[in-house]
Amino acid sequence: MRYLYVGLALTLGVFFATACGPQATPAAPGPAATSIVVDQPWARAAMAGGNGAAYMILKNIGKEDMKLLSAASDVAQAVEIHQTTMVGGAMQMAPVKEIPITAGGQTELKPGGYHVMMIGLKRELKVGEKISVVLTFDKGASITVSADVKQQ
Amino acid sequence: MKAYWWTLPVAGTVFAVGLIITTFLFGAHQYGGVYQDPPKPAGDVRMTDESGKPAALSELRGQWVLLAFGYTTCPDVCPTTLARLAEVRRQLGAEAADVRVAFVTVDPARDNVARIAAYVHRFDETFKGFTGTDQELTAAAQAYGVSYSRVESDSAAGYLMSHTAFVYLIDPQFRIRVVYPFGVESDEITHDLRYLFHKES
Repeated sequence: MRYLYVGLALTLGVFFATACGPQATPAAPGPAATSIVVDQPWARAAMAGGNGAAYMILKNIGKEDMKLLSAASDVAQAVEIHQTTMVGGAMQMAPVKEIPITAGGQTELKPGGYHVMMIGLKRELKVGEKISVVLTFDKGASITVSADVKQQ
Repeated sequence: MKAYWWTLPVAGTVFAVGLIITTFLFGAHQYGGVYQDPPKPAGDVRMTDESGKPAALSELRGQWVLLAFGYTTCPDVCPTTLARLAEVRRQLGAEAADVRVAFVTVDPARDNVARIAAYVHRFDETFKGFTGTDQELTAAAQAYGVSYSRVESDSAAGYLMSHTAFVYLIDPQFRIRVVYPFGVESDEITHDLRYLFHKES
């Protein structure tokens, strides 16, 4: 009987450790954050009050699939993740819930495809400057990238 | 027989080099878009220009015109195209004097004169912008087979527009010569313009 209690306690202990462990630090960048490498981040020069876009290559060097869930930047009133697609010969842009990055693969955010949409720019984005964009992935990972402003 | 073992590779090399030189000198020009053969008369755009005055695209007759449709709320497709057209003018240098770029909004409800002027002039001071009434836009879009529609979204940007995103190259006789798909590189358009300048001057 005594062994049963010990076994039960161990089982519960392991259960709580696995169930509650990851939730203890929900916002902090965990080990998952390091599995995404951001390459060539850039944003297009745009006027104050207008909308802007940021692009980059997201590489997943980890063994688990990742998803970009949201983006933020203090240069705009709102920041969303969007995708432009070709629908019946017309280009159409729409917000997306997530951008997938498969394990060992990469997803390119580029003109005419996925992009970080910056709505209502608080100031002009000038060629040559850098802007800060915070990317939040699933599994509580987030990365701050510095994007070069370019006219292209 | 043994002494002539080299004839085949040498003949092959001479033939290949000859083919490359012939293609280079006399080969058909590869356009970056769909070449219109024969050229089609360009449709007119009669709207309000970026200065707020009633204007027509046909007033640019006598110059080469690169025409695009889009809207200023768009941060992705439209600025990509306009930035590349601005790059074409930079690449052409002095030859750009007779090359104009015109941008027609498919969202006249939001794109008033001030907004379209600020938007196009960001790319190049010589760019023309057109806005106007829904009827004027309908006529302009029909002339080019442009389709556009308003798409409701939960984006903070408000509604978005779905639209065809071709670039039309119009010659000084006001005829459509090349239709480019979205994503065409500035180098390709510059290359086509230089080819047409030399062919037709």
